[in-house]
Amino acid sequence: MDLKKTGSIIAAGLRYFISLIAFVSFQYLPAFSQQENYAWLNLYTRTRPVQTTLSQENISFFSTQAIDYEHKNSIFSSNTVFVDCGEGGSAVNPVATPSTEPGGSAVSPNTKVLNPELAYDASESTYSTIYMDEQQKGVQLSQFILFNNPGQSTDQVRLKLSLTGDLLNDNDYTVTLQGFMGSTAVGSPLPITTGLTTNQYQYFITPGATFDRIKINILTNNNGNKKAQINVHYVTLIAPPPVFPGSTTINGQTTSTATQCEGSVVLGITNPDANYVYKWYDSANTYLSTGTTYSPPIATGTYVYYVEASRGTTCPSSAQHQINLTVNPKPQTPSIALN
Amino acid sequence: MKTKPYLKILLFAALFIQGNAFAQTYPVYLCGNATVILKPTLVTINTGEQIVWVETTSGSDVQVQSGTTQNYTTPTNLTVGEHSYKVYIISAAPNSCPGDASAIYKIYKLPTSTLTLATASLPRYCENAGLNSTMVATSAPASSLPTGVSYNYTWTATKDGASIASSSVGSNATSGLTNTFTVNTTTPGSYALTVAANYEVPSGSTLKSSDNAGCSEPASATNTVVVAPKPGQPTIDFQ
Repeated sequence: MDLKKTGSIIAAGLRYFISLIAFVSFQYLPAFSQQENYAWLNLYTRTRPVQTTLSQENISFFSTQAIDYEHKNSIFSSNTVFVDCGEGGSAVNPVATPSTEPGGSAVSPNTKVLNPELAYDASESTYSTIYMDEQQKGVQLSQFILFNNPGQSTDQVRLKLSLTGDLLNDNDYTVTLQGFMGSTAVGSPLPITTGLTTNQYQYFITPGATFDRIKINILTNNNGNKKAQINVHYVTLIAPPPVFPGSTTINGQTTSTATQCEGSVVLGITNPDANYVYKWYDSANTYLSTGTTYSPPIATGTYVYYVEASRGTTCPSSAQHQINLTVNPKPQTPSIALN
Repeated sequence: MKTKPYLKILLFAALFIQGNAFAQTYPVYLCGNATVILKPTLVTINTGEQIVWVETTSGSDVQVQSGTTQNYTTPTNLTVGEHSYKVYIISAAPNSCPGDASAIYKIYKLPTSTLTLATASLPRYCENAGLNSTMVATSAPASSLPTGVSYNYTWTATKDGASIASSSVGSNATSGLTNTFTVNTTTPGSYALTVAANYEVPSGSTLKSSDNAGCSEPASATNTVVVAPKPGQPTIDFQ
C-alpha cells in the first residue's frame, strides 16, 4: 500500500515537472515569443517620455512627461522642448571707436549698428546693418553676435553677409570676423577680402577653441566719401564636416576612399562629437540612417555614400562628406581534413 | 504497482540522454610525440593568399600559423587534452580580406601511462593438479582517458627460453584498466610472461603515435610460472 502511494506521488511529481517544462518551453516557440515582443514594442513605442533639455536627441526615458509620437509636432510647438541649432541668440553693439593713431578722424554720429536684432532673427532676408559713415579714418565699428550655447572648438560659424551702397574696397576698409569667448579673442581674425556683394554671400570661420560669440568688425583706413554698409543676415553655428581617414578636399567637398571586405562593412566617423547628429545618405542622396557609424548591407562592388553632421535632426547640416567605398570579396570558407 | 507507459518512455529517455550527453569522440588522437598534419579543403588557394591557422582555447583564438604554407603540423609537445583548430584565408594584398573561419576541428592528445605487472598467483603448479596461475597487468594513465579510449594488452611468452604464442599458454581478459592473464597450460616447462599495453581509440577515429604502435608501454616485470611434470609412475619390483 505504501509502495503504491509512493508511486502515485512520484507520478504526480513527474506530471507537474512535465507541465512546468512545457510552460517554460512555450515562450521560446516563435509564435509565442513574437507575440510577446510585439506587445512589448507596442508598449515601448506608443509613448515616449521627454526630457526638457536643449537637445531633441538627448530625450531621456527618466522624465515623467510623456509624448505621443503621432502628435509630436503639435506637442513640440506648445511644449518647452527646444532644439538649439546654433543660431545667434542676441547681439552686443558697442559704439564705434575712434582711431588711437595720430591723424585719425572723430566718429561720425551716423556710424553705428542699425537694426541689430535682425542679425539673429529667424529670417535670412532681414538684416542688421553695420553702417560706417563717410570721412572716417581709423574708425572701428563692430557687432557681436552671441550664441545661446557656446560653440565647440570644431564648430564652424556660418555668416550670411551682403553689402549695400558703396563698393567695398580693401584700401578703404578692413572687414574681419573673429570668435570670442566673453571678452577674450579666440583664434585669429579672418579678413574678408572677396565675395562681398549686394547679394548674400556665405562666410565660414572656425575659431578653433570654445567660443560664445562672433565679432563682425569694420575698420576704416581712409574712406573719404565712400560710406560702407555691411548687412548681417544670419549667423549660426554648424557642425564641421565629418572626417574620415585619408580624406581629401576636392572643390570644397571632403571625400575619402574606403576599401573594406565583404561581410564586415562599417563606415565610421573618425572625429565623432556627442553634440552632433550624423546622417548617412546613399549615392542618390536618399537618407539611410543616423549615427556615428553605418553598416551598409552590401556585397562586392563600388558604392558612394554621403555623411553630414548637424547639431540636431532639424538643424542645418554641415557640408557632406563623400565616401567612395569599394567592397572586396572575401575568400571561400575552408574545411579541415587530415593530410 | 503498475507504471504508466509514458512514464517508462520518459525515464528511458532521461537515462539515455544522461548517458550520452557528454560522450564525445575525436577524429584524431595523438600520443607520445606524434604530430598530425591538418590541411584546408574545399577551397582553391590563390597566389598571394594567406592561410591562417588558429587554436581556440576557452573561447579565445590564438594564431598558431600564418603564411602561404597551407598545411599545419601540430607540435610534438602538445599538452594533454582537447585541442581545437580553425583555419581561414586572407585574400591577397592589397584587398587582404579575411574569409570566414572553418568549422572547428578537434584532436585529443592522450596522456602518458605506465604499466605494472603483479606477481603470478601461483608461480608453480603440477601438470596434473588441475590448477592455473593468474597475473594482473594494470595501466595507469597520467590523467583520465577520454570516452571510448582504452588499452590493448599484448602478452608475450617463452617456454624454457624459446618464444611461443601466449595463447598456447593461457588466455587473457580486460576489465577497465586491468588485464588478467591466466596460465592454464598443462605442458610442463618454465614459462616466462610479460605484457605491453597500447592505446586503442574508437572505431572510425585515427590514432597517431610516435612508435606507430599506439604508444606501446611494456611492463618492467616478467613473471615466471613453472608447470612441473608429475613424477614418473613407480614400478614395484622384488628383491
